[in-house]
Amino acid sequence: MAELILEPTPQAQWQALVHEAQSACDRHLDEALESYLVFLLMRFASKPHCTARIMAVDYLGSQALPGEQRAERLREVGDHCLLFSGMFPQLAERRLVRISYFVNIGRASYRQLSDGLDRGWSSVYSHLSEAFIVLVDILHAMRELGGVKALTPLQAMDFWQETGSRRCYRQVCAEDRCIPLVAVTEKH
Amino acid sequence: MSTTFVDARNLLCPMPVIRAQDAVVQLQPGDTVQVLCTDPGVVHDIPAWCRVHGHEVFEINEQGYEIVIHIRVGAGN
Repeated sequence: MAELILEPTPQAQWQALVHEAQSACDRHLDEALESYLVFLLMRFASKPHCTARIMAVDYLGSQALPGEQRAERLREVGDHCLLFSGMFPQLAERRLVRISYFVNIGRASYRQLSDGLDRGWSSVYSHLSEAFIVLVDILHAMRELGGVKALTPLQAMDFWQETGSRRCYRQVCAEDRCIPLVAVTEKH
Repeated sequence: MSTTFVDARNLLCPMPVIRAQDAVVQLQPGDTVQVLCTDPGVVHDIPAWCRVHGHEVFEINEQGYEIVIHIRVGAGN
Protein backbone atom coordinates (compact mmCIF):
# COMPACT_ATOMS: atom_id res chain seq x y z
CA MET A 1 0.00 0.00 0.00
CA ALA A 2 2.74 2.40 -1.04
CA GLU A 3 0.31 4.72 -2.77
CA LEU A 4 -2.87 6.29 -1.55
CA ILE A 5 -5.85 4.49 -3.07
CA LEU A 6 -8.26 7.05 -4.46
CA GLU A 7 -11.35 5.54 -6.00
CA PRO A 8 -14.73 7.15 -6.52
CA THR A 9 -16.80 4.76 -4.35
CA PRO A 10 -16.18 2.55 -1.29
CA GLN A 11 -16.83 -0.50 -3.47
CA ALA A 12 -14.18 0.58 -5.95
CA GLN A 13 -11.74 1.22 -3.10
CA TRP A 14 -12.25 -2.24 -1.61
CA GLN A 15 -11.99 -3.76 -5.07
CA ALA A 16 -8.67 -1.98 -5.67
CA LEU A 17 -7.40 -3.25 -2.33
CA VAL A 18 -8.47 -6.83 -3.08
CA HIS A 19 -6.74 -6.61 -6.48
CA GLU A 20 -3.57 -5.33 -4.88
CA ALA A 21 -3.66 -8.12 -2.29
CA GLN A 22 -4.20 -10.76 -4.98
CA SER A 23 -1.17 -9.49 -6.86
CA ALA A 24 0.90 -9.32 -3.68
CA CYS A 25 0.34 -12.99 -2.82
CA ASP A 26 0.01 -14.26 -6.39
CA ARG A 27 -3.39 -15.80 -5.74
CA HIS A 28 -6.33 -14.94 -7.94
CA LEU A 29 -10.08 -15.19 -7.53
CA ASP A 30 -12.73 -15.55 -10.18
CA GLU A 31 -15.26 -12.74 -10.59
CA ALA A 32 -17.93 -14.29 -8.35
CA LEU A 33 -15.58 -14.85 -5.40
CA GLU A 34 -13.92 -11.48 -5.83
CA SER A 35 -17.31 -9.73 -5.74
CA TYR A 36 -18.36 -11.77 -2.71
CA LEU A 37 -15.18 -10.78 -0.88
CA VAL A 38 -15.51 -7.09 -1.79
CA PHE A 39 -19.11 -6.91 -0.57
CA LEU A 40 -18.23 -8.89 2.56
CA LEU A 41 -15.49 -6.39 3.42
CA MET A 42 -17.79 -3.45 2.70
CA ARG A 43 -20.53 -4.90 4.87
CA PHE A 44 -18.29 -5.56 7.84
CA ALA A 45 -16.18 -2.40 7.67
CA SER A 46 -18.85 -0.64 9.67
CA LYS A 47 -19.38 -3.47 12.15
CA PRO A 48 -16.26 -3.78 14.31
CA HIS A 49 -18.35 -5.37 17.09
CA CYS A 50 -18.67 -8.53 14.98
CA THR A 51 -15.44 -9.81 16.54
CA ALA A 52 -17.30 -10.38 19.81
CA ARG A 53 -19.37 -13.20 18.36
CA ILE A 54 -18.77 -16.81 19.38
CA MET A 55 -18.73 -18.97 16.28
CA ALA A 56 -19.28 -22.31 18.00
CA VAL A 57 -22.45 -21.02 19.65
CA ASP A 58 -23.70 -19.47 16.40
CA TYR A 59 -22.98 -22.62 14.40
CA LEU A 60 -24.67 -24.94 16.90
CA GLY A 61 -27.58 -22.51 17.23
CA SER A 62 -28.07 -22.57 13.46
CA GLN A 63 -28.72 -26.30 13.58
CA ALA A 64 -31.95 -25.79 15.50
CA LEU A 65 -33.32 -23.12 13.15
CA PRO A 66 -35.78 -23.75 10.32
CA GLY A 67 -34.88 -23.44 6.59
CA GLU A 68 -34.21 -19.83 5.65
CA GLN A 69 -33.16 -18.76 9.12
CA ARG A 70 -30.64 -21.58 9.25
CA ALA A 71 -29.25 -20.59 5.86
CA GLU A 72 -28.94 -16.97 6.97
CA ARG A 73 -27.16 -17.97 10.22
CA LEU A 74 -24.81 -20.35 8.40
CA ARG A 75 -23.89 -17.60 5.94
CA GLU A 76 -23.13 -15.28 8.86
CA VAL A 77 -20.97 -17.93 10.50
CA GLY A 78 -19.07 -18.61 7.27
CA ASP A 79 -18.54 -14.89 6.66
CA HIS A 80 -17.40 -14.20 10.21
CA CYS A 81 -15.01 -17.15 10.18
CA LEU A 82 -13.52 -15.88 6.92
CA LEU A 83 -12.99 -12.44 8.45
CA PHE A 84 -11.64 -13.82 11.73
CA SER A 85 -9.13 -16.10 10.06
CA GLY A 86 -8.14 -13.60 7.36
CA MET A 87 -8.44 -10.13 8.86
CA PHE A 88 -8.17 -10.80 12.59
CA PRO A 89 -5.94 -13.88 12.96
CA GLN A 90 -4.76 -12.69 16.39
CA LEU A 91 -8.30 -13.22 17.65
CA ALA A 92 -7.69 -16.97 17.54
CA GLU A 93 -4.74 -16.62 19.91
CA ARG A 94 -6.81 -14.51 22.31
CA ARG A 95 -9.50 -17.18 22.32
CA LEU A 96 -6.96 -19.99 22.80
CA VAL A 97 -7.75 -21.71 19.51
CA ARG A 98 -5.80 -22.13 16.29
CA ILE A 99 -6.61 -20.05 13.21
CA SER A 100 -7.54 -23.28 11.44
CA TYR A 101 -10.38 -23.68 13.97
CA PHE A 102 -12.18 -20.76 12.30
CA VAL A 103 -11.24 -22.09 8.86
CA ASN A 104 -12.83 -25.46 9.61
CA ILE A 105 -16.04 -23.96 10.99
CA GLY A 106 -16.28 -21.48 8.11
CA ARG A 107 -15.73 -24.14 5.48
CA ALA A 108 -18.28 -26.45 7.09
CA SER A 109 -20.84 -23.61 7.24
CA TYR A 110 -20.46 -22.70 3.56
CA ARG A 111 -20.51 -26.39 2.60
CA GLN A 112 -23.67 -27.06 4.59
CA LEU A 113 -25.21 -23.96 3.10
CA SER A 114 -24.41 -25.09 -0.44
CA ASP A 115 -26.00 -28.48 0.23
CA GLY A 116 -29.29 -26.89 1.21
CA LEU A 117 -29.69 -24.28 -1.54
CA ASP A 118 -30.77 -24.32 -5.18
CA ARG A 119 -28.16 -24.69 -7.87
CA GLY A 120 -27.24 -21.01 -8.48
CA TRP A 121 -26.34 -20.03 -4.92
CA SER A 122 -25.23 -23.53 -4.06
CA SER A 123 -22.29 -23.30 -6.45
CA VAL A 124 -21.18 -19.95 -4.98
CA TYR A 125 -21.09 -21.31 -1.42
CA SER A 126 -19.53 -24.58 -2.52
CA HIS A 127 -16.84 -22.54 -4.28
CA LEU A 128 -16.35 -20.40 -1.15
CA SER A 129 -15.85 -23.54 0.92
CA GLU A 130 -13.29 -24.94 -1.52
CA ALA A 131 -11.41 -21.67 -1.98
CA PHE A 132 -11.48 -20.70 1.70
CA ILE A 133 -7.69 -20.88 2.08
CA VAL A 134 -7.12 -18.81 -1.06
CA LEU A 135 -9.45 -16.16 0.38
CA VAL A 136 -7.64 -16.25 3.73
CA ASP A 137 -4.28 -15.93 1.93
CA ILE A 138 -5.56 -12.85 0.13
CA LEU A 139 -6.87 -11.30 3.35
CA HIS A 140 -3.53 -11.95 5.06
CA ALA A 141 -1.78 -10.32 2.11
CA MET A 142 -4.16 -7.36 2.46
CA ARG A 143 -3.16 -6.99 6.12
CA GLU A 144 0.49 -7.03 5.09
CA LEU A 145 0.08 -4.25 2.55
CA GLY A 146 0.49 -1.96 5.55
CA GLY A 147 3.98 -3.38 6.14
CA VAL A 148 3.21 -5.53 9.20
CA LYS A 149 3.20 -9.35 9.05
CA ALA A 150 -0.27 -10.84 9.50
CA LEU A 151 1.16 -13.97 11.15
CA THR A 152 4.22 -14.69 13.23
CA PRO A 153 6.60 -17.30 11.78
CA LEU A 154 5.23 -19.94 14.17
CA GLN A 155 1.62 -19.11 13.33
CA ALA A 156 2.50 -19.27 9.63
CA MET A 157 4.14 -22.68 10.14
CA ASP A 158 1.09 -24.00 12.00
CA PHE A 159 -1.31 -22.59 9.46
CA TRP A 160 0.67 -24.03 6.54
CA GLN A 161 0.88 -27.45 8.19
CA GLU A 162 -2.82 -27.54 8.99
CA THR A 163 -4.25 -26.07 5.78
CA GLY A 164 -1.51 -26.19 3.15
CA SER A 165 -1.70 -22.40 2.71
CA ARG A 166 0.66 -21.48 -0.11
CA ARG A 167 1.26 -17.96 1.18
CA CYS A 168 2.23 -19.27 4.63
CA TYR A 169 4.57 -21.79 3.01
CA ARG A 170 6.34 -18.92 1.29
CA GLN A 171 6.51 -16.97 4.54
CA VAL A 172 8.04 -19.97 6.31
CA CYS A 173 10.54 -20.52 3.49
CA ALA A 174 11.53 -16.87 3.67
CA GLU A 175 12.51 -17.25 7.33
CA ASP A 176 16.23 -17.96 7.59
CA ARG A 177 15.93 -20.36 10.52
CA CYS A 178 12.88 -22.39 9.38
CA ILE A 179 12.81 -25.52 7.28
CA PRO A 180 9.25 -26.46 6.24
CA LEU A 181 8.96 -30.24 6.37
CA VAL A 182 5.44 -31.65 6.14
CA ALA A 183 2.06 -30.17 5.28
CA VAL A 184 -1.35 -31.33 4.24
CA THR A 185 -2.19 -30.88 0.59
CA GLU A 186 -4.12 -27.72 -0.12
CA LYS A 187 -7.60 -28.77 -1.15
CA HIS A 188 -8.43 -26.45 -4.02
CA MET B 1 -26.26 -52.02 9.12
CA SER B 2 -22.77 -50.61 9.35
CA THR B 3 -20.75 -48.80 12.02
CA THR B 4 -18.59 -45.83 11.16
CA PHE B 5 -15.85 -44.50 13.45
CA VAL B 6 -15.10 -40.80 13.67
CA ASP B 7 -11.92 -39.66 15.37
CA ALA B 8 -12.62 -36.18 16.72
CA ARG B 9 -9.99 -36.22 19.47
CA ASN B 10 -8.32 -32.88 20.22
CA LEU B 11 -10.97 -31.00 18.26
CA LEU B 12 -12.90 -28.24 19.99
CA CYS B 13 -16.66 -27.84 19.69
CA PRO B 14 -18.35 -27.55 17.27
CA MET B 15 -15.83 -29.49 15.16
CA PRO B 16 -16.80 -32.93 16.61
CA VAL B 17 -20.43 -32.13 15.72
CA ILE B 18 -19.37 -31.17 12.18
CA ARG B 19 -17.31 -34.37 11.81
CA ALA B 20 -20.24 -36.46 13.06
CA GLN B 21 -22.55 -34.60 10.69
CA ASP B 22 -20.22 -35.29 7.73
CA ALA B 23 -20.23 -39.00 8.59
CA VAL B 24 -23.99 -39.26 9.15
CA VAL B 25 -24.98 -37.74 5.79
CA GLN B 26 -23.28 -40.61 4.01
CA LEU B 27 -25.08 -43.33 5.97
CA GLN B 28 -28.43 -45.11 5.82
CA PRO B 29 -31.11 -45.10 8.56
CA GLY B 30 -30.23 -47.62 11.26
CA ASP B 31 -26.47 -47.37 10.66
CA THR B 32 -24.41 -46.34 13.66
CA VAL B 33 -21.58 -43.87 14.21
CA GLN B 34 -19.08 -43.91 17.06
CA VAL B 35 -17.57 -40.50 17.67
CA LEU B 36 -14.38 -40.45 19.73
CA CYS B 37 -13.87 -37.03 21.33
CA THR B 38 -11.92 -35.24 24.04
CA ASP B 39 -13.86 -31.95 24.37
CA PRO B 40 -16.33 -32.45 27.24
CA GLY B 41 -18.80 -30.08 25.53
CA VAL B 42 -19.75 -32.85 23.10
CA VAL B 43 -21.75 -34.58 25.83
CA HIS B 44 -24.30 -31.77 25.39
CA ASP B 45 -23.71 -30.67 21.80
CA ILE B 46 -23.92 -33.98 19.94
CA PRO B 47 -27.13 -35.17 21.68
CA ALA B 48 -28.68 -31.71 21.02
CA TRP B 49 -27.74 -31.92 17.35
CA CYS B 50 -29.11 -35.48 17.17
CA ARG B 51 -32.44 -34.43 18.69
CA VAL B 52 -32.89 -31.69 16.07
CA HIS B 53 -32.01 -33.98 13.15
CA GLY B 54 -33.88 -37.08 14.29
CA HIS B 55 -30.91 -39.27 15.21
CA GLU B 56 -30.52 -41.19 18.45
CA VAL B 57 -27.65 -41.17 20.92
CA PHE B 58 -27.91 -44.63 22.46
CA GLU B 59 -24.72 -44.74 24.50
CA ILE B 60 -22.07 -42.41 25.89
CA ASN B 61 -18.89 -43.87 27.37
CA GLU B 62 -16.29 -41.82 29.16
CA GLN B 63 -12.83 -43.36 29.53
CA GLY B 64 -10.45 -40.95 31.20
CA TYR B 65 -10.22 -37.89 28.95
CA GLU B 66 -11.84 -39.66 26.03
CA ILE B 67 -15.55 -39.76 25.35
CA VAL B 68 -17.21 -42.15 22.90
CA ILE B 69 -20.67 -41.18 21.68
CA HIS B 70 -22.72 -43.80 19.86
CA ILE B 71 -25.27 -42.46 17.39
CA ARG B 72 -27.95 -44.37 15.49
CA VAL B 73 -28.89 -42.67 12.20
CA GLY B 74 -32.55 -41.66 12.10
CA ALA B 75 -35.18 -42.54 9.51
CA GLY B 76 -35.20 -39.05 8.01
CA ASN B 77 -31.60 -39.27 6.78
